[in-house]
Amino acid sequence: MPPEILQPVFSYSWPVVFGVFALSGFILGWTAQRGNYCFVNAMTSIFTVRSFERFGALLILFGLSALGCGLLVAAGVVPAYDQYYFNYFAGWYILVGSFIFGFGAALAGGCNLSMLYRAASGYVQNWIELFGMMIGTYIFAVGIWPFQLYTMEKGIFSTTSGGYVEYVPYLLFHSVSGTAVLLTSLLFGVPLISLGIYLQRYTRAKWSGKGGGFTSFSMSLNRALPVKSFGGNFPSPTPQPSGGLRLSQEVKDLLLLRKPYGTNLSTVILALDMIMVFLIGAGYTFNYLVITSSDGGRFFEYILMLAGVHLFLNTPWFSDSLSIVDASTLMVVMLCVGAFASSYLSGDFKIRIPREKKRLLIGFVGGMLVGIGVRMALGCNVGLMWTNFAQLGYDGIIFLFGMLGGVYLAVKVQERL
Amino acid sequence: MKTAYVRKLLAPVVLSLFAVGWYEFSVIYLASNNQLALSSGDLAVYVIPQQFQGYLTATLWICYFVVFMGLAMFWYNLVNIVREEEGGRWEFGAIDLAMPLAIALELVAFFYLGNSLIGDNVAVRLLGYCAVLGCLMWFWYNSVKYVRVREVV
Amino acid sequence: MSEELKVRKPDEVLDVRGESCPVPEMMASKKLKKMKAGQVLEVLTDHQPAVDVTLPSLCKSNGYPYVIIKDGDVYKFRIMKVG
Repeated sequence: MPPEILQPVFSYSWPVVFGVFALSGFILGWTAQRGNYCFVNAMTSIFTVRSFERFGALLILFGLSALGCGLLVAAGVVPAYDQYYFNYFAGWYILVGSFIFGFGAALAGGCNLSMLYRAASGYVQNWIELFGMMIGTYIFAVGIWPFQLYTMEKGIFSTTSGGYVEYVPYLLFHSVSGTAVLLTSLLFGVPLISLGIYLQRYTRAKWSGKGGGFTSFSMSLNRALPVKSFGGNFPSPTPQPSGGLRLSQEVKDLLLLRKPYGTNLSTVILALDMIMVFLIGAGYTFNYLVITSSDGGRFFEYILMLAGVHLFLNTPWFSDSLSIVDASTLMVVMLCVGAFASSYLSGDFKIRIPREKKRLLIGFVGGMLVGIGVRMALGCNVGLMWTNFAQLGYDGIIFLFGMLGGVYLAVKVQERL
Repeated sequence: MKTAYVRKLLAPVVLSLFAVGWYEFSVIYLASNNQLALSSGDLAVYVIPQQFQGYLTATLWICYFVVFMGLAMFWYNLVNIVREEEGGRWEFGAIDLAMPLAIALELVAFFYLGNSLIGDNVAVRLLGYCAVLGCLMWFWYNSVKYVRVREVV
Repeated sequence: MSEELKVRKPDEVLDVRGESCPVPEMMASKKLKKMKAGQVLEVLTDHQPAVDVTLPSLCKSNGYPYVIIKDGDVYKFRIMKVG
């Protein structure tokens, strides 16, 4: 049996560890806002517009994260137990939870990541969703968690432990040696990255082949801006730099926040962010990027603390699953700060209220489903799905399919609403 | 005043206040609730002292950083709004004169507040002195330019 | 085609100001399905990514021509449904 001891790999003081998580949150918020990175949108676009460009980017993100973290372990820089230590249980709840999450997030208009960075960019719809999520977490805690915990303890459609039991190198090779991890990370990374690139190319090829005779342009009514023509063909879904545009100009525009980041640039920055946290947080705490899946509940608890209510004393889940603070608290706060900074500095920040008021109600209900779904699945699209690919587990794969199912249903329901 | 101006000026101030509020909340509420978790024997919730202190120290640093960032954004937008109000004709004025001083003051405040954290770190202090001195030289340059521009007018 | 879209009065207007992805393209897709060929849909949005990425994707996927008109903080994204 492989060891199960969590000990710091590198020596820093706790403020440094917390500081690095805060920095990673800032980078995450900034990059996601600039790249408009949304997991739900990547999936809805498959069903609504048959575009795989952003979904392909997601697969590349998962592949790069698995490969990067796996190689660090295979090279002996980070011990294997730091990779599998926080692998959760797998079971029915991941599939059901991710399905509910995907459905709620697509209805409300944002996954856990985009909900936060858009809330920080002034979208009231996402504030409502965040509030709905807090309520959903509470409903889960008192209504579902005791039952779920029972099935987890008894192993009813569930594994009864996490850790190395769910570590794919161990499952495949019965070993957590460097070679086993190397082979597994290649097994994860190479197909995911290849498939992601293929899907992106396929979508772009489809766009360039279609609608040859149409011309699109933009113009300004109140400012005498020149009419912009995209030429005979439709452009790629994500604006591509034309051949003549110099790279230095492109970099300058990105640095000065004149242009949003391309999908793939955001993907690479986010994967590097994940790898940075994996390396620096190893042995200290949950050394992956983690979003509000637990912090939605934590902030709800904080709000109630102001009113003198202490959920951690006697409420299920709050009393056994959530420490008062951890690195993810600062990560989430700084994610919002980073997203606010980039939206504000780029001139995008604006308080936006949906014109149709029923959308606010849909946002709230969707948010509640998001809260229930992420807690059932033991994590959100970032804290569980993306993270679990970096952990070389298989929960992320279950989550991916569950979420796709939920998003598909939401697209169909939305058509009737 | 245009609503966009209020938004542009208010948002960074709210950000700075949020950072201060978050730190205060952590010190007052989270610390006492952590003790409550310990006294009620809820070890799944309780955070050990070194870790909790690490959180507070990191939060304090972040608070300084975010307050600094918020004030810088506020100042930057104030300058832009004044420029816009002048119809873009305005080239060099009192704000150019006040800007280096404001930034120097912010830096001094930043270092003053961070004294307990920086300790005797000479490298950080030297960097701070250089930045403040740079601002003062910038102020001097702007003062000379300001007088010249006025003379030409 | 684009000149016509620019000057022609839209047959349907979809106001999704304040909404973020994926709502604008989902609502636009739903609306377009109910419209007849030759009709023009105008989507009002202040969500930049919808103008840059998702609504153009929707049009390209269906082969519909479109124009983008900026009016202050709001974009008017006009789409013509073709058969």
